[in-house]
Amino acid sequence: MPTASMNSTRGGRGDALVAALLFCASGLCVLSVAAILAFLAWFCLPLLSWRELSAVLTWRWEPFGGHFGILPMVVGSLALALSALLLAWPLGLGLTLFIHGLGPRVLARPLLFVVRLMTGVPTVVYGLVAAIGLVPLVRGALSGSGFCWLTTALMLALLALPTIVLVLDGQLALVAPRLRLTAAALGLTRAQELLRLALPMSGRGLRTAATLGFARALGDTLLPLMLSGNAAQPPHSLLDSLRALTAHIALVVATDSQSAAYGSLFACGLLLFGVSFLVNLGLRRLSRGADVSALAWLPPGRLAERLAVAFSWFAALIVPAALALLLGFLLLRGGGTLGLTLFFGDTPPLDAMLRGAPVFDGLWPACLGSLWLVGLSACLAVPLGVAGGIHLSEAATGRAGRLAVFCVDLLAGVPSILMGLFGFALILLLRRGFWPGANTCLLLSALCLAMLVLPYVVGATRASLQALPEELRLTCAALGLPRWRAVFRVLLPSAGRGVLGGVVLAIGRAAEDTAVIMLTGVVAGAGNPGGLTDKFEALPFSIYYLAAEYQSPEELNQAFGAALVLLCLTALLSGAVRRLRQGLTRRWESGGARA
Amino acid sequence: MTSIVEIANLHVSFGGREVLRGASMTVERGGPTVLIGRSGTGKTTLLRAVNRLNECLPGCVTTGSVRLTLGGENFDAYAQGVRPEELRRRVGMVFQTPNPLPVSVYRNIALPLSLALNLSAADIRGRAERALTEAGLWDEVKDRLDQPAVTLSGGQQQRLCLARALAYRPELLLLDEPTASLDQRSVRVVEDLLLDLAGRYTVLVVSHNLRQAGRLARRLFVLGEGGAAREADPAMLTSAVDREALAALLDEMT
Repeated sequence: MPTASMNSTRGGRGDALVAALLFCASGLCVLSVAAILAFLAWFCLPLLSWRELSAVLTWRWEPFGGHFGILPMVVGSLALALSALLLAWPLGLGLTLFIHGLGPRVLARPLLFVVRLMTGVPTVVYGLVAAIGLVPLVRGALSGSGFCWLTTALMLALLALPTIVLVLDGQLALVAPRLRLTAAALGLTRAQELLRLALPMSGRGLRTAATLGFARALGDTLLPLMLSGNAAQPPHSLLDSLRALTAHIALVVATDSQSAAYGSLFACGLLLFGVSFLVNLGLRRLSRGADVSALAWLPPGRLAERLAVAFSWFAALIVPAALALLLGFLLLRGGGTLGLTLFFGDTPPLDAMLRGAPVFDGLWPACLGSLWLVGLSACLAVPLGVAGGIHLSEAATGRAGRLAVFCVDLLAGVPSILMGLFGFALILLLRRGFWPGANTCLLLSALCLAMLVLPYVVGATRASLQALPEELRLTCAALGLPRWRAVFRVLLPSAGRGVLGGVVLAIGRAAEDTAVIMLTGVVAGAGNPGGLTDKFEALPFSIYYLAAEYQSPEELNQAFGAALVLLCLTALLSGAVRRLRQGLTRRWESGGARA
Repeated sequence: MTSIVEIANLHVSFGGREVLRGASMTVERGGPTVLIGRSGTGKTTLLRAVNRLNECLPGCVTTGSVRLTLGGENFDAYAQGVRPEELRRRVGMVFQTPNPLPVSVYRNIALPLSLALNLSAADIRGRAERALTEAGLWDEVKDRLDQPAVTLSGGQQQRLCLARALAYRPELLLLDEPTASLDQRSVRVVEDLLLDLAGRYTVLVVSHNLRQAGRLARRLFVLGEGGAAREADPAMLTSAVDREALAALLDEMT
């Protein structure tokens, strides 16, 4: 009975339910952005008087003297981010050009691999290695304590570099192949093709890379916190100590629990949020605007080309060398500690693992804590993120859809410390309200981490669904598949690779983040995680804590051991899911062939 | 001694897949010389072997001999000391689809000239006007030299690419199905232009259209599978009966 099946209400109702669920998921993404903004604004409200505002916008930060000026931190953040960008952008450009043909072709793939590897290095690992390895070098070679602008900017540059390279690589991969044969047939050299033709056509990518690199350097908490010395004053030289906004938030929350300092804290948060908002707006304009006109910024002549080639060789040597030095130092210091003692201290491993015997000087509780944390946040973020991504790709249209996409992008760009601050504010609010006993805990951390990684999953799901050929959708429709069945049975499996890619990114990010959990419940020496509302330990925080507070060389070595474990963990994770991703695609394709 | 290109026993493979297996061909000065063959026979690869453009594609391996006679000098194009850039500056090429650079009409000619030949602005201006005139484009674009090249029509773009190649003053001009993406009227314009240019340049054209080959060819090569080139009489292209026979020959060789 064709008419009956055509009007099948069951299918229609099911479709409506699915649509509603998906709508809720992407609605939650928008809500979380709104919630962060609302909390920041709410706690900033007390500042909205001329007297309070003028007290915050001053150059003095002396909380015990009643001065809560945040301007030194604003200057510190900008100085750090800009100087890091100034270092990383040219190096990144040189490296990308090297990969795309200024250097030998055989080196291109290994170099790109190194850059991808760099994206996976946890910030706290960089922080530890720099604090113990680089700081004494700077102190010895120059002067001062070594905890200064210079050290921090160097490491932030290294942190921002892969972001810049990957954006530029994508841009050149788009532009260069089209030019390849034309330029060659005209007798141009590879260097001329890249420098004189491809680069002037890549204005958009160059600016996008700079913007993202700036945001990456500005939003980082751990490196400034561990390396800049944190003096609340504007720096006068590269060897001066300074304090960034992000580190400031972490420091004040950690040391101070009930004071008027909070008002200025949330003002810092609002500022950071504002900057990410502007950055996001800028990126949007870049991607929408007409292609940037060809600008010939390289002076004419062969000499300029030769210099550019020489610089790209320099970049291609110095970046892997720096990474190799850092990782080598880490291996040297941490390699010897790897063993059961590192994890379990004096406790028998089996007792600890099976009977939950307490471990006092080992990493076991931190590993367990990290596992719980990552598991919980993945449970929250992955289903929600995939559903939200499906909704944004398949159903969201018009102004609401654009708003949701904007919110997800914004959430992806918000510095992680703001998620922590959000969690912290949530507890403050609960305490003032109906739950006086509320405290930071594992569940809160997982919640905030889930918010942090949610946009990775949403973005990856949406992007890979939209990358599918339009014919696939039409084919499904022509075969009479209901819309959502087509989405879940055909489109989503076809996009599986991309979705899983987003999940890996999310898990890796959740495993390495330190800034969020620092504000939401991680403590040193909490032991095995007891329950969702207990304090806990986590690997990245253990590294940070040991690096800052180590009492003996053994404890410092333990920090290196922990850093090595964390690094291996993130590397293994991305490797394993990459394998899985390939397997999944194959299975779907062969399943399709059988059907 | 009027040959300009001598190809002997040429093998070209991409990523292990052999496209040309022992191709041989001799191109005399003048022309046009037309190379026809079914798609997939390696016409483009054979053409690109002359200016070593295959090397720009991934996984390309070339063996065999390609000898060119340029500037009164006979040399092996793949010899150690030969720089491919230098070679390509002396051998002009026009592609199947117009490939103007995303700059103005004038810069499309001026930019490569300044980059590759390092000419002065005055020289460039002179060459550009001359080349655009040769390509029959000067009157159409002289008032819009500063406009983006992509605003030209398809046929105009293709003639701009031809002018860009002519501005180098090459001795040899390679054209890879230059009219395949053009409408009928533009096709005739380009064909007339090629016949005209053949007086001054050696012109080697790849085509898969027998009628076009008939209009253009002074010498004709038929390419079979793997690049087995056989010289044929261009007169075969003028009568319908012979065209049938030629089509049969093409099929047989594929």
